[in-house]
Amino acid sequence: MSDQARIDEANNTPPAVTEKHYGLFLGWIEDRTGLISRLNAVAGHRVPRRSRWAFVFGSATLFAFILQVVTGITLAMFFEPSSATAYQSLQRISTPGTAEAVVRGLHYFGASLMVVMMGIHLIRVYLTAAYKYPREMQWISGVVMLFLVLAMAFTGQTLRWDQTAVWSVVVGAEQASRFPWLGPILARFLMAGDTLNAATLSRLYALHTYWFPALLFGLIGLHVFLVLRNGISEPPVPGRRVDPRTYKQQYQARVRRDGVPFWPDAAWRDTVFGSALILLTVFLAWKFGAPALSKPPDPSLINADPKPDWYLIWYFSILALWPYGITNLMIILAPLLAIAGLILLPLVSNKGERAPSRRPWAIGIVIVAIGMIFSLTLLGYREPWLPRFAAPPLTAQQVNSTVPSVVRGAALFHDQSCILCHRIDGQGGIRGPNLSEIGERLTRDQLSWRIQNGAASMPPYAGVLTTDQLRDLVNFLETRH
Amino acid sequence: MSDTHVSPETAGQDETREPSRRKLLIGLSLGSGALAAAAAGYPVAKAVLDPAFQKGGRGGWQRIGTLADFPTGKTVLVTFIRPGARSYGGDIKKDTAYVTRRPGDWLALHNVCMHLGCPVRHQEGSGLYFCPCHGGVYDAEGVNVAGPPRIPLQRLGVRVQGQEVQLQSAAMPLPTLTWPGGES
Repeated sequence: MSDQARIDEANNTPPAVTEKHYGLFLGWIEDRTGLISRLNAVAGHRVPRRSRWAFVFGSATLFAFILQVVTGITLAMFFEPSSATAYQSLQRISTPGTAEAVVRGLHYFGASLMVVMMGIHLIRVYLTAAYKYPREMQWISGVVMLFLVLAMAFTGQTLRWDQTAVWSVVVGAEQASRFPWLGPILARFLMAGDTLNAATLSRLYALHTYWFPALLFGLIGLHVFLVLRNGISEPPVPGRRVDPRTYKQQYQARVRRDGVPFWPDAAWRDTVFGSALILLTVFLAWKFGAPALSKPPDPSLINADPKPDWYLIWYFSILALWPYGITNLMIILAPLLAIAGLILLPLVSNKGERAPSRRPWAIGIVIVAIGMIFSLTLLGYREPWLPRFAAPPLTAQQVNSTVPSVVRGAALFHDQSCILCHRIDGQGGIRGPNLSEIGERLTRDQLSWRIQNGAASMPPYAGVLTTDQLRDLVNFLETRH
Repeated sequence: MSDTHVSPETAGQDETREPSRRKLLIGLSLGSGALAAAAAGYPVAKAVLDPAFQKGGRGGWQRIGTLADFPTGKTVLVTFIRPGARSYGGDIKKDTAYVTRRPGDWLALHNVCMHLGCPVRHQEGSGLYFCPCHGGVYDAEGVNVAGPPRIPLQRLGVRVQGQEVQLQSAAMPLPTLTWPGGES
């Protein structure tokens, strides 16, 4: 049967099934809507036999999405998207022990669930090359959804409208503004003006609750329609190459020969896995409740340490670690290259081997990407670049000297902000080298030179320290070994 | 419903017999639809996109304190109201600057890191400004000296009217686009 014939069959089910078949109520529904027979046709469509647990992540993402829709609408019934009162309404919603707090917890952990499932689904589809003919549009619609879900994650975080949220909007807008020509327009679009203002939150709220979900609903519809139309991809077999001229006939023949009905033979795994994850999310939401809010959204409280949620921490690390000179280039170019590469992938390579064992570079790319994101995330939580503003002065015991110049130098080490980035005996920041034993590594001249000239991430202290101060500081550092 | 029922033969005849009529009907449908969508869509698009093209100019002068609040040589964090802020916006109206009174002149630095816009923190002893987000450092003049920032902190105007100190508030400046190797 040709592909078109299959669709025709699905769309024009002959009215052979009658009310008797379905009973009085369902029969009435079927007669007036035709939905029952169509749902039956969809449920019964044949899928490859060997579609096992590796194939559950797409439907798990859908389960998570439905959870997000239901909990999101519930939160919208309590949240006040007004920049003056949003924070208070969130505090109310987050009151421990209330059902609202559990719902907010569900929405929070559900977001993580959706991002994780989407990521695994993406990796599975990439590793098994399921994006090849005829499923190119499934991949492309999936890539667009990937970025929409990340946009949902970002705007969702900003709706918390606490200190972190407010600075995240600023950081997001600043990044957008680096884009040539279009950048400032994008940034102002995001903030609804030149700066944070009363309309900023309303705009983010509209994006998060109306625009992006509307697009997602449409794209999910397309994605699922295409899965039904083109059939679930088979687990790859080494040596069985995809050839667009023969693929559809061969797929149909194989599925007819030894496929199984989607429901329940294949779908039970989807429902069991998806339901287990929802139950896990409910457990987490009950156990941990809503995530804590940071300080109020008052830009005059400047002791802020804004940080994205965990799934964007790796990107946050990249922003701090890129060679500073190419930051602008990378903020603009890297995401564009990522989007272009992902979208072009099935158009460039839509035939040939699907088995991961015959595509070692695909395995390599996945390992490198996961390794990078994992290590950058770890680094993001360590925040080595963060100045340790709260580091107290070194104690007399740590200084371990009564020489007046050394004691003065130790005080300067704190007062002149060295301690923000340098660690001595476990105290201070970790951006710069640990100076606990610096006296053994550098001579007096080398120490003076470094302090006065600075480095890429260290400010030069020439002009900041007097000659006497520099001498005291060097005297102090020399005693460190 | 028999009047709207079209048998296959007549349908075929209609298609061949009246191509110009069908063209007109298609044109009419698409045209009226486009007109209605454009008429309703124009104000919608204008409302959504207008803020994207608003340019906030220099704000006016705002009182930030009296001379007594600014001892010479000391850097003071002041809060001001963003220009053009709506009164109902809550705390989001506020913005901050570091103001230093020096012998002979004043220095006011808008507290917006020129890397990605986080608020920086002044350190009393060294006089340096550190950014908590990605570790940018500025010297006492607001010049970027370490970390990711490529351009100095934005300077704001200060003037003294009698005993009153005033700040010329600015909208949040979007960082100038600077390319590698470019003058910044």
